[in-house]
Amino acid sequence: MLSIKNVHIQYETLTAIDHLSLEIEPARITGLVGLNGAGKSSLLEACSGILTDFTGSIKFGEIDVKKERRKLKSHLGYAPEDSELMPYLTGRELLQMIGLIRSCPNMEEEISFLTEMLDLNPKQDELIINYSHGMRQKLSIAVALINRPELMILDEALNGLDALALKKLRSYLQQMKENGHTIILSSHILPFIRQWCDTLIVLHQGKVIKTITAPELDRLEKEKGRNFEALFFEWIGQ
Amino acid sequence: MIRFLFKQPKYLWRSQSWPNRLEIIILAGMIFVFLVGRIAGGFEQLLAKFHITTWTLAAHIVHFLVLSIWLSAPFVLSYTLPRLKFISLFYGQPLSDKQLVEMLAYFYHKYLIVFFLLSVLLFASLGLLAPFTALTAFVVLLIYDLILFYLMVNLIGIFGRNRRFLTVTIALAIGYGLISAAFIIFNASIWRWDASFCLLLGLWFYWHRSDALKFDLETLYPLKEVRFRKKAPKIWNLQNFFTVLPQKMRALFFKEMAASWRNPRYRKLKIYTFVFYFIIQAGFYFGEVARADMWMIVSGLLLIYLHYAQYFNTKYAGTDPRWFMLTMPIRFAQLWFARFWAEFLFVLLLVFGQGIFLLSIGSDFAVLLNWLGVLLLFAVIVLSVVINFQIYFYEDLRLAGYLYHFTVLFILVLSVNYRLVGPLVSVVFLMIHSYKSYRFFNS
Repeated sequence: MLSIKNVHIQYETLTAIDHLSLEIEPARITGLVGLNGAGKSSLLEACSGILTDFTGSIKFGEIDVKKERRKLKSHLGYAPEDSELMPYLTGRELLQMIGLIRSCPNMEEEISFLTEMLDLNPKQDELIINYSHGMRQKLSIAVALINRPELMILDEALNGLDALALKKLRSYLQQMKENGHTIILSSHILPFIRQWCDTLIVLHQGKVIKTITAPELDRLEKEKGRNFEALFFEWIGQ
Repeated sequence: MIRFLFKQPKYLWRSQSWPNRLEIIILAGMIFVFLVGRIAGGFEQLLAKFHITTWTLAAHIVHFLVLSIWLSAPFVLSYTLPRLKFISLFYGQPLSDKQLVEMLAYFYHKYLIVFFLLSVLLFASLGLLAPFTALTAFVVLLIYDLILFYLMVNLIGIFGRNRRFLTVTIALAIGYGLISAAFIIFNASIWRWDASFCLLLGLWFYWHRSDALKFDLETLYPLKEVRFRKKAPKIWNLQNFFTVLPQKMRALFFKEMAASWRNPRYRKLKIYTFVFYFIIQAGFYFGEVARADMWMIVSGLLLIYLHYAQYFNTKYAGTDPRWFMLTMPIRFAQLWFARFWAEFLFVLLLVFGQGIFLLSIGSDFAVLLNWLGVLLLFAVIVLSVVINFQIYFYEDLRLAGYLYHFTVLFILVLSVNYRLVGPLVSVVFLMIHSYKSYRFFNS
């Protein structure tokens, strides 16, 4: 369980997250949606211990994210939005390095599985500097998923992935969900979040506008005769 | 454009807290006052020894600085500026001639700022002896700088970014140096020569003003094709042979080695430093210089300082991404020592080579050990400063670079002035920096 209580993130004059409280349950895929600048990345950075300059508290189980970042690191897999990697390592070497750091017991099998799933095999022995944007994105996801961390945070990391990789990744995340992992995705691509997530959280101007489960959303769409995109714009007042 | 460009340093300054700003001002003030006092003393001795006027001394300073700028500027314009990410943002943009000139002038002066800082120091020192002369000479230097900038940009526009441009500009600089030297040797009025030179160039610009600086960015710096980089030696695989090392240390150390040595610019930097280092040492050896051992060590210290200054340039030493620094289960000490050992092997190699050269000039073994100890201690201090700042300012390497120069200069000033106190204060500083980085990393 990821418990966010009264979190407020302020960048000088800009309020990124405005006194937000949330409970993100384990064994679910939770999606954060919102327009650019809604505060998705700030919230996820705070949840992953990257951003500590906030008020309020975030707890993952018993771990206080702000005070016990070191503890959190062993349970966290984080794929950032910008997929900045180490350009002079090969994809495989990067994964091996992360595997060693994370003390992954079956590292080679895990790497083979991830590279196969994300279709990284043909390029895994090339330097990352030669990778295309999509390939970097895939590698960034593989880095986050190695050693199957309990908390998986993918911040806009799925944008730019091809259809086959998305299909395989979805089934993998479903499997992880069934094993009890907490998975959080963020995106501003609505149809994709709609299909993948069990719970959807709509963020707008640093506030939670709506929290809704997939079955509730199905019912609402039927009742109102409108799709998720139309409802989303209605919720954010556009 | 110029106002826009100056926003970055302005915000950089503003982003510092008040205690930091005060710390910077006080330390910079101390360094400035110390250096000005020392240089002014040196000038007094020069004036008395060679029986020259302050005007002649000012002229020599101007010529030295102009020649230094002249020799460095072509490389800044043809190598550094075209590789700047900021400049590449403007390809295909409708930049006006004025905007392009402002942008080039800003970055040109930014990379040559060392000469301008030096000129401020030298003229401030001269100003203590002859304020009017110093001020006049400073103004002449500024005029020279303006002329040189316009000349260089025009030449690069005419010839393009190639060897011809470099040959022409270096030939012109050598010509200028020779003519200045001839005037000095024949004791002619050096100011007359300067005035004539400025006037001639001024007239040249006046006649060609309609053609001057009418180049667009794409003509000045044509885009190069992106090249596919092949994998360099399999450094990473070596980690399989060192399974006795702790797992995380092994991963971090070999990651540092692989990521660094596969970067062609890093390799070049290392090779050039190594070759240059031993050419200098050989020069002292074959030149039979008096107190060669001391000069060998001084040149070694200077080269180590300059070499590691490049580590704040992302071209040579890449930084670790934010997610890696903040979300990976690694400890400060693991990261610190992995980086330290990956670099320290190079330092050890230099020190070992230095030892051979010192032995070859017949240095006494005790003296040799003493010198090598100094070199090693300095290298460890510099390396520690580099690693601490790289960790502490991993998101802003440029700022870390400024602080590196500042810290090493401060340590040097203290060591030269107060002997034992200097190194002691340096060690205390190092511990404070390491603790700050540690706290930051684990915060």
